[in-house]
Amino acid sequence: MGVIEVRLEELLGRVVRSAAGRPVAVIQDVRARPEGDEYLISEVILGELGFRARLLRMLHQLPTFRALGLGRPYRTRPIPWNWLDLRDPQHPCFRRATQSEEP
Amino acid sequence: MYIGREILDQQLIDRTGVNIGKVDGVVLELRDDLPPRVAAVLTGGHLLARRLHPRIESWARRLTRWWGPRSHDPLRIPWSRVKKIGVDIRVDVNAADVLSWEHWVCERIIGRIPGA
Amino acid sequence: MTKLVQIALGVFTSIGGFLEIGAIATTAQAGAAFGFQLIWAVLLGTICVIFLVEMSGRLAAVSRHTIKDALRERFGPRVYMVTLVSDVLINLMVLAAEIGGMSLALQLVTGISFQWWAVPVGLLTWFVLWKGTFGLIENGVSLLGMVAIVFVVAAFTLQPSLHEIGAGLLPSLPSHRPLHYWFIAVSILGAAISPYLFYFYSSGAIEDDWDESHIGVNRAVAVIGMGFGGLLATAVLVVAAMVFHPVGIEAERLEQVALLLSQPLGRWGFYLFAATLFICCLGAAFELALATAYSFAQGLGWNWGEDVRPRDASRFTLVYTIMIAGVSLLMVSGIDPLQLTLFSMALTALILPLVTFPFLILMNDRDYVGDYGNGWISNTAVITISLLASLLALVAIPLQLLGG
Repeated sequence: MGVIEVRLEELLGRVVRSAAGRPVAVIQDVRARPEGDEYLISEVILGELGFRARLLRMLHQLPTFRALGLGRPYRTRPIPWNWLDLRDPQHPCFRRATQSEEP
Repeated sequence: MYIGREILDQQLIDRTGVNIGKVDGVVLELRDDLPPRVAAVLTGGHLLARRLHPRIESWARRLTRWWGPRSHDPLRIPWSRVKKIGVDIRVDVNAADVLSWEHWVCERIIGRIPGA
Repeated sequence: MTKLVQIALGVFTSIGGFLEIGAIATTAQAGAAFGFQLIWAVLLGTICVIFLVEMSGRLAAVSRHTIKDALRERFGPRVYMVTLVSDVLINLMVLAAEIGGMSLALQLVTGISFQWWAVPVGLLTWFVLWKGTFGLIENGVSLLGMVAIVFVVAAFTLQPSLHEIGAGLLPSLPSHRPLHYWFIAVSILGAAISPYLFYFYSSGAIEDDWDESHIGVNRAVAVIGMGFGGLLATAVLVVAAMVFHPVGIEAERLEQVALLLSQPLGRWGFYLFAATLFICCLGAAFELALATAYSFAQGLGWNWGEDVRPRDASRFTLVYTIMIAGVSLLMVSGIDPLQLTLFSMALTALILPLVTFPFLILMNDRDYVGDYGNGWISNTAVITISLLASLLALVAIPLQLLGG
């Protein structure tokens, strides 16, 4: 298949689907590790779906609201790079059915 | 290193300390059976407009068709030229070679006013 | 000792950001209509802006980022664009009011209609930005701005009742015209807590090359600078309360406000009022033009700086040039700068939480401010006052539009 170029900014914020097509999470970021002169992607950080989760995250980031018990920390989990198929940046998905289950 | 947080939207600075722009895009190279590598950073062009909304991008393209510098492609800086990542990102590039919009504004407008 | 000179940034920001035509107009109206009752609004606005300015300076000193810069990096281009658009719209309106204010000051002194002064005033503002350095403008406005102390002098000569002033420090319900009361309260809050003010201050801190060692100075500068502004605004209110309120003059038009200092200080008062108005509006015009240019340049990655030659920061220079030119030409048409100002102040108060909440998130993010994050007092004060101002505006603006 060779080499394909994708843009990170087109991946961020996209909904990731399971191999069966069900929306599972949102791409938050990617993590890279240096290997010699290169930086190689080791993990993709996935975050919770939904507007409510993001609203609660914003409230949680302000200590005043946190102290009042409003807001909830945003849950993210790192996924190994090879678990995801990123060739189509508009529709990232898990490669295999079992991998999208919550660990 | 988290690429989205530490590279995207950060300030790019050239060899001499002049601002080149913000990192508007990052190119990732997907390879069979190998981890993707960070290939290049991008700045300029209509990337920012595109990230806001595709319609804003087409509107920006139409607006700049008749004026502005001739080339509207984003500047691609290979990862090998990224020298230092900190408060901002230093790249081994010469601002004079790359700032097409800045030079256009300078030549056509600002530079023509006495005392610039 | 050299660090103490940094106070000039605080005083400059205060003179141009705090005590400009908006603040003068709203506090004069407040004093004329309600006596000392609205001093609490000035106090609340001053407290909030002290916190915000201190935070801006701290962010710049520790992270070496300005607010706009950090907003894009932390929240991405969409959030940055929303703040940019709202900034530009409000700054344009307020700049129009300031150009109008300077033109009116010249009209007061020469009798020539303010419409004729709009373009010369615009040219002057632009020329100083074109040729001047940040230090020159900063120190120049701070020094010349001292003329505003005339309001404090006038307030003293009128011998106001300290007891009544003290009563005004506490919020109270109006005895008459409640809609007008709350609308003026909202406008005072919007005039004091102007985002361009602290955006400008954070850029100024970078222009003046502040670092972590400036944290203490920053605190002093914020308190003294903004406190000074608050004191001057209160003095305007007190003078209006003593001069206009007893005889029922409304102070809705600038010709009336101009008489503010004539009773306590006679003929000199009239000229000093014009001079103060001119200098405060000039300082504000500098801040607004620069703040807008900073907003573009820092979020889009352009080269920027008042100390940089125009040709080396062409796009940055272009922004303030177009802005000043456009607004000056607009003011030739004769739009009333006072009405423009009141509207933009109320709007500012309405959207205040949208401006302060992202800023507060930055101030509590270790990646930006390290160990120098906000304490609970800063967070709580700013959140509370922002929400309060916005809620008041949400209620008062539609009612004023319907009833006023």
